[in-house]
Amino acid sequence: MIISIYADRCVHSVPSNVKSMLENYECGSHLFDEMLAKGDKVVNHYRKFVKQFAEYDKSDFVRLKDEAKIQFFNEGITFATYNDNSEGTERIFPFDLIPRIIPAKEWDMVEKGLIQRNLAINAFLDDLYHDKKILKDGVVPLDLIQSSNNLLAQMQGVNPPGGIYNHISGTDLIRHNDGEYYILEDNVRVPSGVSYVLANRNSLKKTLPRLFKQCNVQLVQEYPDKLLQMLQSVAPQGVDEPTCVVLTPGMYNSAYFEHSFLAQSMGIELVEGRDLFVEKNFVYMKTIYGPKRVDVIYRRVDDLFIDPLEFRADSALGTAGIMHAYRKGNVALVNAPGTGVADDKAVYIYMPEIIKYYLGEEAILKNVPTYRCEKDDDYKYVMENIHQLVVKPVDESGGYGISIGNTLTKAEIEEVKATINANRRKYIAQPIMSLSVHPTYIEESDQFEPRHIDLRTFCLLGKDFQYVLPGGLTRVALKRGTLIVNSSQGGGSKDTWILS
Amino acid sequence: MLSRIANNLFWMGRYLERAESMTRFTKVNYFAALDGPIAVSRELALAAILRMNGSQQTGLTEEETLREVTFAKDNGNSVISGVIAARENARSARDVISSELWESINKYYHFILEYKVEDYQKTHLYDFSQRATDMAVVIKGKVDSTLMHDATWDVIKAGLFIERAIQIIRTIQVKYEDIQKLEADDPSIAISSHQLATLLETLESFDMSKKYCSRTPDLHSAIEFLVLNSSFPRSYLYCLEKVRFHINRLSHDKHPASDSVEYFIDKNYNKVRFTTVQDLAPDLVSELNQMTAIMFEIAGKIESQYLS
Repeated sequence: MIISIYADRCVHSVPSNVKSMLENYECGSHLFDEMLAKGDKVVNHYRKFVKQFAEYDKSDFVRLKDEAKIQFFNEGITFATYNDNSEGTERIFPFDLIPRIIPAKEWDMVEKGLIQRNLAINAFLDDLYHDKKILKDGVVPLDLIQSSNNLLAQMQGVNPPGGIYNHISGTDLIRHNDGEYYILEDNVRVPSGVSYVLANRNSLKKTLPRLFKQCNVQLVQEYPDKLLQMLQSVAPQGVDEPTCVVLTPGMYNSAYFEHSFLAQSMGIELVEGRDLFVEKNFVYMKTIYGPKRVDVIYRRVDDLFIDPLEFRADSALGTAGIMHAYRKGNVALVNAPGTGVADDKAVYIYMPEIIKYYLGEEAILKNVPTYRCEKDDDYKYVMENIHQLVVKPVDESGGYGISIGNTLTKAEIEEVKATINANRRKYIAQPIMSLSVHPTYIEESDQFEPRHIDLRTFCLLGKDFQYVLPGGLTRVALKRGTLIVNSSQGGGSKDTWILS
Repeated sequence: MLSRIANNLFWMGRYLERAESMTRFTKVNYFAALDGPIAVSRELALAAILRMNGSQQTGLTEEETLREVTFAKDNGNSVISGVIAARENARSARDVISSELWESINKYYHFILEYKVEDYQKTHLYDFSQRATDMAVVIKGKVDSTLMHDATWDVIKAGLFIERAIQIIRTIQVKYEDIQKLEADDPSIAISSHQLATLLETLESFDMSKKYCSRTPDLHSAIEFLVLNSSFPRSYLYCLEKVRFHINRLSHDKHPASDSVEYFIDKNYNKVRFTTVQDLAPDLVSELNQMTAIMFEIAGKIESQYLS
């Protein structure tokens, strides 16, 4: 049994000029506010920040926000969306200057919970692609795994260098109105967003240096070094000084900024599939002085596009023969192909059992109660209660395909029901979790307003190597009342401070 | 360095120089036509601007011409197309160039993309050109001062100097055609010297050429200065020498084969170095064409030897 550390929140009065900035701030009593408590009180670990913040007035704040925006624009810290036109529009990822603060004690627990969960996922993947004990023991249903689109036959019996599958995990956490952290989803394919964590931090340091100095914030800037260390740790056997590269689908990918940022900050090459070729089961890149062998590939290309010989033959993003070289143990792929079977949202339900099965431990971080539409009991419950549930496809990301029951019209509810009926395996449902809220500056109203937030974390696993980025990407649903925080759906972000 | 990235950087250098050259040509020739002798009409200047740009368009008004060579995205030779292409190339190589260099290119891109075409056409041609040129100069400063002077730098610089050499010759050719036309119509010295001054200003060499020649240069000495001077950064020979310098640094080959780019550059460099303006004079047009052809061949050889 884990004792809740949130029950009592030590609170203090808000300084008077900050009070005036928060004049019209209204947070419903059913919501959990990270920073403010009822009766103009501020939560303990925000106290230093708020005290410093009192030195600014709102016009300063607006000016600083504009400056930060220009900075992002000039540096080209943008992402592309392809909704409006075929060329893609470059946008700045909206960034709010008020940081989200997490005290050290709380973070310790999160960190332990993330490492535990991701180690269990790694053991689970290794088992699924070898002996399948967990299925034989009936802990996870066989048909659930066999019906997964992300289970790759090409990975059966493969031993990845260093024994690692989910080298980089981007687990999403939320905080419910009971004050507890819950895992919202596991992301162990190619999670993105870490570059924004570092960019947000840089920007905040430049914009509000004094504010930053006062609070003892843990560093995030060492992430690229840790990432490189991890990549090197999983080099093929016998390679002492591995050549690591980042493989990108190219500059028109929405996360291209991140790909180039990571390659640059690790000091390694950013390659595209066409820069690589395979000869005698070794992978090489084409350089101005001829071929150079590549040992570790941090690939930001999806499984099905990696190798046209084994997956989609029409893929121009991959390199022919790379999977064979991988199976021969001559190159490491990070993350391993076929990890998507583990972040399936229906497999998510079994995660507490998976952790217990492989590690013999209770899960430190909670799961959100989840209903599998494939199971008859669950299906019945979902159909009857759909207006108060969130329905999600099991294998999509970016906030696509999600329906939130209490925002739907009757006709829309019928539509969702029909979609579920057409493919019950593809959908799960969860209670509508009340994501915690955080004061956020809203341009349209020129005011600070509560907005829902979540937290994308970043956890690295290598050979004898574990690391959790202290902080992560706090994503903000900028539209009033909405719970969807994804950047592709109009979300923004905040810097996340873990106090030392 | 990846061959693909090297190729993109090479073209980044070329596009930057091309956009800058077009910007300056338009500015200098447009304003020169405002206060020149009557025969040097605005039409002549606008036609020269279009010719310099390689545009096939005819019958354009002044405003259309200015838009065509500077802001037309569907014209691959316009300034904006050059800057977009340079920025795309830089973006693909962001991880190998400095963030300072990238930011300066990105700023240049946003500046041009957001500039109001009507302002440029009606009132702000000078302001735009001046600021755009300054930004291009800052970019080149960042290339020299924030990159390691390694293969990345050599490839960018080789692209830059090849394009500059091509643009120098092209500028001379366009202005030479104007001079010949004007002299045939009315052989008065005023026209010719006005056009020569415009040529020299376009290539930012008016002051230095006067200093070098100890007077305002005539056609021969202007061409000698712009083609054969080894110490002026906007002369063909200077650019050729720089291309030779950068390619030799890039090369790991001490004894390049006779079909290599190193060999080809050396051969032509030595030829041009010992050429005099008297050698060029009898058939200037074809000699200038030959100079451009040499640069095209160097670029082709660099691409096949290093960039693919």
